[in-house]
Amino acid sequence: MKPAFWARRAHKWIALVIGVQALLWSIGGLYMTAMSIDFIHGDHLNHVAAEPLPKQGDLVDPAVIAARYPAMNGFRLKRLLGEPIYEVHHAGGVDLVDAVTGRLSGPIDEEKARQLALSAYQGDAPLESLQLLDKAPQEVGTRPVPMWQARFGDSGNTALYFSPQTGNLLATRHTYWRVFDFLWMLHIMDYEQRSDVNNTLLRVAASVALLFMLSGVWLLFYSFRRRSAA
Amino acid sequence: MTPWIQKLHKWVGLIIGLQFVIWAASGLVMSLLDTATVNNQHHLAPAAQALPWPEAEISPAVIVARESRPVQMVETHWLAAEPVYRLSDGVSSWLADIRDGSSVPVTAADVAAIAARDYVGDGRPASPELMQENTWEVRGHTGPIWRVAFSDDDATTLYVSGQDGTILERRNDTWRLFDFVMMLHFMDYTRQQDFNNPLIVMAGAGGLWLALSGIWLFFASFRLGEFIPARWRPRRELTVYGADGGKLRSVESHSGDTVYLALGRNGLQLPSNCGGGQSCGLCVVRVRGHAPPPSSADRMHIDATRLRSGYRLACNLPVTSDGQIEVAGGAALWTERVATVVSATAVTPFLREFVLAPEVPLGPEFQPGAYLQVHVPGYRLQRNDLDHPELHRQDWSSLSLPENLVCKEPVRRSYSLSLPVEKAGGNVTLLARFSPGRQGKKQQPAGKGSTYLYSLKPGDRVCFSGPFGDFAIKPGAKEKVFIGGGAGMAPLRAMVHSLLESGAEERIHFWYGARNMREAPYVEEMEALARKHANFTWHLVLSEAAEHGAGLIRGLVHEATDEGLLQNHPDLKSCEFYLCGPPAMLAATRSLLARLGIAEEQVAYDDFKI
Ligand SMILES: Cc1cc2nc3c(=O)[nH]c(=O)nc-3n(C[C@H](O)[C@H](O)[C@H](O)COP(=O)(O)OP(=O)(O)OC[C@H]3O[C@@H](n4cnc5c(N)ncnc54)[C@H](O)[C@@H]3O)c2cc1C
Ligand code: FES
Repeated sequence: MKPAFWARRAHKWIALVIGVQALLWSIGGLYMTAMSIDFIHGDHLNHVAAEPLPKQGDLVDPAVIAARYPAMNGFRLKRLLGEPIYEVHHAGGVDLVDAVTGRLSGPIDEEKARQLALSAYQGDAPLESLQLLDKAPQEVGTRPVPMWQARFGDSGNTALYFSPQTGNLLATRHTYWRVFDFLWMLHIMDYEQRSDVNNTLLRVAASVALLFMLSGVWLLFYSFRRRSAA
Repeated sequence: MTPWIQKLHKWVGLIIGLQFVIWAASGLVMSLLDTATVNNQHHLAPAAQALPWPEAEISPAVIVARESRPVQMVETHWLAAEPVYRLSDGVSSWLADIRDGSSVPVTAADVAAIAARDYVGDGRPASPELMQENTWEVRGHTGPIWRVAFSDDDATTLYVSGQDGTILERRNDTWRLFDFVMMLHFMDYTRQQDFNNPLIVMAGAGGLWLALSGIWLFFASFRLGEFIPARWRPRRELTVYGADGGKLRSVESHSGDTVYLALGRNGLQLPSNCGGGQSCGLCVVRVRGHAPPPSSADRMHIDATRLRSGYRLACNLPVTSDGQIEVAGGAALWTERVATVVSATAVTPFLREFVLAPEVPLGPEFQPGAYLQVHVPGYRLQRNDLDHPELHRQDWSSLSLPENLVCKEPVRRSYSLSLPVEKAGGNVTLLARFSPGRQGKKQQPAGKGSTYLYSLKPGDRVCFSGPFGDFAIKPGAKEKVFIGGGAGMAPLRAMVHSLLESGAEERIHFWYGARNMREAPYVEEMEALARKHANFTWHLVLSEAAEHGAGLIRGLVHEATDEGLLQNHPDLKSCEFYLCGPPAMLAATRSLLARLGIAEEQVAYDDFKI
């Protein structure tokens, strides 16, 4: 048999094994590259740029707080909903302390969470639901719980996640992100964690794919050859 | 639809095929490189216990008030072992002393301490170096950056921020390899780690097309049957008719086989030079009843009229249900005839005439224009088994033939009758050209069939089947123009002899092209025929001739025919054309005739495909 015959056969039979995955790679690859990553991250949906801290006015001295938290190993002075606040890190976790009054101001309650969500959200849909979650949904699986989930009724089903401990925005999720994440899962063939690029399945599939591509290139040599006139 | 999908698949493949290999290979490498190693986890010291924060002397509020820049955040921070405040305006950050609020620089000593604390392993750190310019190893970071190289096998390099002493990146050789491969994967040759670049989006779009069209082609080219052993597939009955309409035989076949295979399994070997590869176009059969839509291979070998009447390549025709097909050649397909070699005569250096005496007399179906399929057995020959007369020695010694000429499996090759059977006393006469294979740098083996024929000596036995083919003299006495070249002499010569023998009175022209006088066969024979028959004229056209003397024409045969006959012919519409020769000559002649407005029905030709 002619090598061209084997090239075509190889390409065809390997396609049987890897064809669908190759299609998924292509679809995923195109989507992930064609969609701006900033858009996928939802930068257009949230607003987190904080204003600077006030230069005047009396703020509680950290020494006062340290007295209250003997095991304090650090703090952060920042603004939350416009108000200066201490994020106190201690052996037992993180607390929020009002930097003006010195009163314990956390964790974020429902009313605060609503305000946080509304001030961060950049779309024009109403807040649809607000929930304190003890178990992280798949889309924010790597973030610590508990967390506030604020869902908006826009076309992208935007959800913003906030930490009740610090009030920080943990993640922004919307339909395009979810599609991206799903395609990424298919791309790296880790159907559970969606993050392990070293899994055996992917390694095997990528090897077969390499053979597949090489057989295609091999076949190309013949596809463009004219029948030689003797 | 499939042919153009195929074509586009091929072309897109050509353009981004290499990128596909790169995607697959780089993907594979990235999946093989352990993520933890890439991220240098194996040289990362376990996180230290959080230290209690010492009481500061200056309140952060005081520092904020003193700062000229707006401050978004103040936090506690350890620079090596020293507690400091870290301030940030959202873009950059800097450090302030917790005693007096003065700014704290990140010194080389700090960086050395930070790097040493972060690292485990047997490498020794080089002294920290403040980078003049940030390299791609720390892209994405701005501001001053310190670099600390370690002398371990992985070439670990830590990058420490010159603003606040945090570790920005932990690089090593595995990472560098990973990063290089990722650059190839993302087609991001500027190393901005930007997978949204237009190049990759375009390639990705091409890739998606390739995948989609590939899946289409996959389904178009795979038959379900290929996955199931023949005996598990449903049986079908294929009824075979001769071209004259008579029923020849019914054969059993399995759904999913091709007609070519099904007939072959039943001992009915269709003519073929390619062995079912859809490239020789010899295995044509006609489907009775509903023929499947023609494939691109069908269209390549069969003209539109015949496609419409149901002709298809048998090697591309799947058996799906019971069916009926017509085969030219009829019963000849089953019969294997045996003949003895009477003579093998070198007519020119590379054209040889073989006369074969069949054991059983041949029937009237062996007409000029028909061809036989010579059954070439597997063989192993020495180069000097190919005998040639002394005067052709030079021609043969200029060929570079291998010492051993081998044919591993039996094959079949087609050869036309080159003399009417009656005229040859009941014998078969063939004229075969030797295929030396591609010469020069990229050598290819000599032809399997012609090598075999050229090894034959008087007394040898040869098997063949046939006759086949639809190249034949048409009834009626129209003016006839024969145009040929190379081994195309064979069927044309048989036709000319047959016509003249039977007393045809119409005008008969024979234009034949060769490279030079030495390579032109049967010149004297043709000249004699022309002298004897007033209605026959013979024109030898030499493409290389230095020796074009009287009566010899120089040039390409189709051009010479055009100039010498066709241009000034009063009534081309009433002529018949018979063509046979090498593909290029055939193609040129056919397009010439088409340009002259000659209808396809007037033109008969045989394509040797070599
Ligand atoms: C209807 C019909 C009638 C014919 N009548 C005649 C006739 O009367 N006289 C005649 O001489 N011929 C005739 N032929 C042509 C003949 O059938 C053969 O095709 C021809 O003799 C060459 O066959 P082969 O076995 O010698 O060469 P093949 O083995 O078929 O090889 C053909 C060519 O391909 C080259 N080749 C071999 N292997 C490879 C490879 N791996 N890769 C690339 N190239 C390769 C060979 O070197 C050779 O040049 C006819 C053909 C047809 C279809
Ligand atoms: S066997 Fe050659 S085309 Fe079918």
